[in-house]
Amino acid sequence: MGPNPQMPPDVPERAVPEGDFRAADDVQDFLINIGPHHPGTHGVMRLVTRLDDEKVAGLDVRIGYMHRSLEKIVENRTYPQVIAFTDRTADYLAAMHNDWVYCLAAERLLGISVPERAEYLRVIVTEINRMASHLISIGALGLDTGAPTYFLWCFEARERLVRLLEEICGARLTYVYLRLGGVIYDAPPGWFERVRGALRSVIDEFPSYRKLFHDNYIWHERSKGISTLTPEEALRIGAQGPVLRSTGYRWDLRKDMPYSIYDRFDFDIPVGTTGDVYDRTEVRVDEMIESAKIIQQAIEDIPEGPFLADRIPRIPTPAPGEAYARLESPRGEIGCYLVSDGGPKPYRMKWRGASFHNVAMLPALAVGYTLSDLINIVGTLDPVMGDVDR
Amino acid sequence: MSGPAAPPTAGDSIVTPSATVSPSPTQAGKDRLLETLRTQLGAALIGYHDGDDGVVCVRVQFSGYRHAAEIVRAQGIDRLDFITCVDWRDHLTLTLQGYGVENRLQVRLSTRVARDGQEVPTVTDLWSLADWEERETYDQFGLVFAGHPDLRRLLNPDGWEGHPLRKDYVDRVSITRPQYF
Repeated sequence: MGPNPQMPPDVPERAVPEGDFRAADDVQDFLINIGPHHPGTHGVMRLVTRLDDEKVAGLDVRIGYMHRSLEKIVENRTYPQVIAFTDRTADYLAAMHNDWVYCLAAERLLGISVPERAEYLRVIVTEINRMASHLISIGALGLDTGAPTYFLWCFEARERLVRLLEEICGARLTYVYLRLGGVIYDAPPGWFERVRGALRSVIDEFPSYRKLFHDNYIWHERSKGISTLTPEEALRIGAQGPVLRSTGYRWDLRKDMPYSIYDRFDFDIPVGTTGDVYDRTEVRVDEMIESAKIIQQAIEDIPEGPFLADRIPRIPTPAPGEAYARLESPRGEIGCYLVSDGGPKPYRMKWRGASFHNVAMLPALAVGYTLSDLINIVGTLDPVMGDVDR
Repeated sequence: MSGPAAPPTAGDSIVTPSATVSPSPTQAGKDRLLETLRTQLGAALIGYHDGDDGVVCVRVQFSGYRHAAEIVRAQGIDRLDFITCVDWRDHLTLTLQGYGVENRLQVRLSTRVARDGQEVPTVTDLWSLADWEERETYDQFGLVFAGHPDLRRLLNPDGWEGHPLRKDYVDRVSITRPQYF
């Protein structure tokens, strides 16, 4: 590049070094780093993205920025103490599910049976928690796609559900409501009526959500046909939860491998057709309606009686052995594998996080779509980094 | 591990299905799986027993781990739950669990691995989720998976010293509280 003839001669040369800064024509790929502190990653996740033009050609997901080693912490705690860690350290938006899967595994190991009323209370609070979690998930998609109003609407609706949980256990996010052998508090007087009222008010708002966001032309443009999946592909890459169901594959642990008392309720498993970003969101909305159905039935059927098993020792010591429990969390299947050596503390716990596996399949979902779609795809996986990094 | 499972003897039938009730898909899948394991693995199969929640716990020799995983995958166990290790101070136990969406059969496969110097064949080609599970196991236990396409640390930083979930790991910034009892 010679001197610019249009510039007056006394203007000094540019400070940038000589050279052609355009990429050569045959070089198409370049790297873009997203995160770890990027709002689109829903937490501290780093996506090293290789782009071909506008399209994602390769993706390296780096995690571990919030790793607290839940599994090592647990090895130094007694069995009842662990519950406080599973709902903080793992998936904190669905803390009830984490506590429940740990309790299922530990109760299996310790041979504790749970009273009937406690099972119903567990179902009610986890389904409320599932709705609260899904509201965050679909609301955050609005935030990602430039509809912050929708996020605030969802957040306000979630607030009504979280108040119910606050009323029954005193906490809004980290509940520690479940105990080995039941739950810690009974429902306060009039709580079931307030649950019914809150559910009705939340469900009644869904048509207005549809008007604001789900039927919006911009959202359709951003979501339909993005990251489509067939059931076979979904099973091959290990998809689970709403992502798997959005492909049309009807698989829900509550129905297919029922735990607790889920075989007593009458509910559907909503599925999508194409498995794209749009369907994954719709499946979550439909799932909330089904959750409300389950809660209504549980409130009608709940028996009187004790809500915590008697004679649970303060420091239980199981026989040497192993146990695994899995359940359907809002993000997919979570599991807890406990190994006991006969001591008062778990010898080893392995946490199977749903978000961990969801994020692991992100390259399979995102490669071939544009960078702006990548943010949407991450949003539909609904990753909670506490569950990924543990 | 819960109780030593007796090695299979000749004529050892696991379950005799009732003459009137046809076996469920799970039961049929379990019979077929154990039959295949017995015939194909031979001496590499140490034992099996029914674990918690109907999980079929299979213990194999280290040499038969990869072959057993292939058999388990071929028998319809297409969903991987986890791959992990337990550090028993003198050896590691590598455990792999999965279930099948068709037959609802849950299988837990475990094998004994030396703490150092033994490379485990990878199963990433059988289950795609095994990729990160094996990376995490390598990160936390130092177990090397031979043939893994991209064996890097996952949760701990790249330059981290030691493997934190080993029982003899000493945390330099120790936050471990004293024992109370």
